[in-house]
Amino acid sequence: MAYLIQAKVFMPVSPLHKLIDQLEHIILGKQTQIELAITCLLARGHLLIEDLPGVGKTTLAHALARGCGLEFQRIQFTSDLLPADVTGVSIYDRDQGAFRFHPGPIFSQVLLADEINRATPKAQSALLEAMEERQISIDGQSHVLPAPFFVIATQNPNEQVGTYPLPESQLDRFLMRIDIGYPDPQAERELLSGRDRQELIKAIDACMDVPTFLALQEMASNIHAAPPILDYVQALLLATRTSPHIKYGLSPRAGLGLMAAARAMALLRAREYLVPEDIQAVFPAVAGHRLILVETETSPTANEVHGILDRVPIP
Amino acid sequence: MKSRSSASTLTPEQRGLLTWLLAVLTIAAFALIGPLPTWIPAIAVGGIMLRLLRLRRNQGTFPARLLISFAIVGAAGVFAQFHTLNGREPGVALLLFAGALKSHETRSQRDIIVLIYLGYLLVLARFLFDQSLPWVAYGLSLTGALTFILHRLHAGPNPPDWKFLAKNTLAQLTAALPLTVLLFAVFPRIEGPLWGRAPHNPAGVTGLSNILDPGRIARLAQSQAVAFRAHFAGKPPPRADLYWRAYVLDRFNGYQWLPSTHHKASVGKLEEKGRAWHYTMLLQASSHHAVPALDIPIEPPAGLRLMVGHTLRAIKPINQTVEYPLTSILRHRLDTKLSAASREAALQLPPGTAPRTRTLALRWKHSSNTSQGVIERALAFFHTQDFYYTLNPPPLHGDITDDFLFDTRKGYCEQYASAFAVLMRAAGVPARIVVGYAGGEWNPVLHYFLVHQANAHAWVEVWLSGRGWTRVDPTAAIAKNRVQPGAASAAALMETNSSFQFNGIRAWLNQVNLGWDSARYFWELSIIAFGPEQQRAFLHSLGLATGATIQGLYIAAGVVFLFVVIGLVELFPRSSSPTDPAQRLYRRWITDLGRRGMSPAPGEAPQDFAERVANAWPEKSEQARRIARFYEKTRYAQAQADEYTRRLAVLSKLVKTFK
Repeated sequence: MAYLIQAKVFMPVSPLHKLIDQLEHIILGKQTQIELAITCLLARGHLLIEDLPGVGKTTLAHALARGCGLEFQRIQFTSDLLPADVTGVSIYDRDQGAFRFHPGPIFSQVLLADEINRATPKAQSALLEAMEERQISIDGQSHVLPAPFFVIATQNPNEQVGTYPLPESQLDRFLMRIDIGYPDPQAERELLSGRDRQELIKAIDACMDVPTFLALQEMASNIHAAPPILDYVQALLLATRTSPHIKYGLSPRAGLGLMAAARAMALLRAREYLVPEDIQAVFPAVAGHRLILVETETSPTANEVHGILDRVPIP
Repeated sequence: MKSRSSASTLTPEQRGLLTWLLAVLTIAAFALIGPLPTWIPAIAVGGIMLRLLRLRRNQGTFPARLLISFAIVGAAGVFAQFHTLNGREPGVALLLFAGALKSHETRSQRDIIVLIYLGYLLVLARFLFDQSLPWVAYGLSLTGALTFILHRLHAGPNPPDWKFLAKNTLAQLTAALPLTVLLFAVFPRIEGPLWGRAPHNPAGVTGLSNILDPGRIARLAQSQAVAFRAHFAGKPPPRADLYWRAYVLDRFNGYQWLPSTHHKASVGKLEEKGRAWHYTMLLQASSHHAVPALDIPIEPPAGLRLMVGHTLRAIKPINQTVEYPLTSILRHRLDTKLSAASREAALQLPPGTAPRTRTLALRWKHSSNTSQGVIERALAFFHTQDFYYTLNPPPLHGDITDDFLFDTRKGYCEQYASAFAVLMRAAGVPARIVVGYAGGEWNPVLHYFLVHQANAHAWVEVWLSGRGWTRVDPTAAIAKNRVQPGAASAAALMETNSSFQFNGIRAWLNQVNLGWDSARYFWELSIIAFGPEQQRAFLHSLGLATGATIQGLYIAAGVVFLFVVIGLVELFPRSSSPTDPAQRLYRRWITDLGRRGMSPAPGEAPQDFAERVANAWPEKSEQARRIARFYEKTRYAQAQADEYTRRLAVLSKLVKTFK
């Protein structure tokens, strides 16, 4: 039985590895972030990429969509963006004598919401509601969004001028938040000497079709989690709730997200069962944006998250 | 206000637990049937049963008014029974009623908890009446059950499995042990009875009394209650000498034998002969002063004194199990010279009593010249005439001595002793009655004689010139074939060679009996008999001062110490050995590496740790990685049993060959 599962896993996992390969040629020296981004999609989660402008957020999102063979749309969020610009509008059609719905860019499989924190809260919430319910209602009519449906949002850190930071409740809609960071000198050198990124993205082959992608998602959700792994996840959740540095610990929804993300990571690593390393690999990305530290805490959230991983014993 | 039964707001789990709790309370109420007048526990059991029934039928609780009226009626009933609400029996009775009524007032979890606490008190209350070993077992099991219910109640609607709860219950009870031991050893003992009066002895089993009249000892003959245990460090005395004297009676009123009122009656002048026997007397509570001792006790220990006829008396009544170191001598001459007053007392007979007996005695006196001759004639009379030894003699009419000796001729030891003494006195031989115990079962393991109330006995002492007071046991003179079946077992207890026997099923039963009594002996000796004296001795042996205040300080210090220990244990959780076999192997690997200076951080995953190990020992890098991989595969992956075993074997081999 175990071997059967293993055989089933190994075969379809190869497109994933091909995808990682291709992405690594475009986003140089960022293997961890690429793996996490793919994991996030496999776990049916939305992804938030947060970093300074120009480190390759958009490139990663765009390349990911193409590599997965998914339909891709992009919205550049600005302060004057209206909800209708995201969801679409109903316009009166004179020939038919009725309103006709013109779907907005949200009707795509991958939506890149660029610089989401530049838009007003009203526009942000239009997107975030659609993310949660995977459908939108306009003029009393429900319009189901395509499947799969992902939002990859990017945002600049909140210290930047002219931004509307996402409230915590909306941050929770994103399964993961990752940052990309500056490339290391060697990768940067390669980047500078290499070709234009836009051209490279256009050259990406789709590594899989939509049914394959959906099958992989299904497979990820069936990864085995042994009781000690569940113990470990519970211990981690408890640690966030009892830490004196943290004001609000992780919610049960975050716990579910952690399990889903870890399962996807196990799949990506071609394993049919969860190991503690899977949990540890996704924990910072899943937990980081959901924890609210106490006011007096000055060190960054990431420190506390890694502190918890170091402290909590593995059962 | 409208009288109605309020709806139950208990959850199904709480109702289930309440059912169990009521069952436990029923047992606790049943257990109080002995010490309390039967109507009180009976009503309580009925009340609890009614609640059980109503709980089953999903009926609610009674209105408060009704319960209050019941409480008042119950208290009035208790007052009518005892004429007071103070003291042990009324107090326990009220507590019992409170429990039964509270069971009808259980609407919330809090009520159930109150009921559990009442249950603890009821279990404890049973100990106020009897602290023997069976009741210890009873107390422990019911306390365990109540604690388990308490745990289960606090576990909420999704409780862990019962094994876990049982383990927790056991752990909690065990945790109480140190404090229990501390309080037992140090808490100041209260001298004298706790309730200001003698303990209530159920069923009239009062032990020996200082009056002898027909039927008094026969009533004791069927009692299997333990009278005392006598522990001999070395070889026990010969069985023929096992006569334990308690009272000497020399005043006969024609019906009863009573203790001497003769003021000049001395303790007795003893000429010692033969060796002294030292033994420890562990005496059950009797509420009397008499301390039975091997014929004849000398050198009374503290708390005891010698009374007339060389019998021992405790200065305070024996209200609890006590222990005395005693010394006796078996070969002796007591009162070789009899004062005129004593002689007169030992020949006293009420005028006009027993005319036929006197005639017979005088005939003997004239035909035989010596006292010795008279005694032999009397013993022969009992042996050859148609005398029967029975537990249920017919009632005696008229002059009891004459009626017994010439008409009924059926009696128990008291009739024989009494008649024999009257015969002696009538024949001019000074005589008196000794009441005590005869025989005893020897426990060869713990070296003690076990003496039951059924061993109670009465015999005669006659005064012989030159020999002093000499024991004569007329009961032994009866022909063996005339000992009636009913009395046979009682007689067997007195038979000097009766003991634990070792063959066949009887031997096995004897073994069980022996083991059981050994346990009881240990319990009585080390727990029950641990009185104020023993406590002082114990504390002094530890070099500690005694006194209520300082002992209070010890307890306070002990409690503080216990809390510090608990705090330290909580602060430094010990690493328990894991139960998972794969985890044990991995831990073993880590321990091995730890000796080489390499340990994983608490949150370091196996593969990360293996990577570090691989860097430190490049030649072992592959094996280290394989250990981590196989460990994770064994522990976290799904597998059939045989596959799991195979992986475990591989992991075991990898760990063991990692050198």
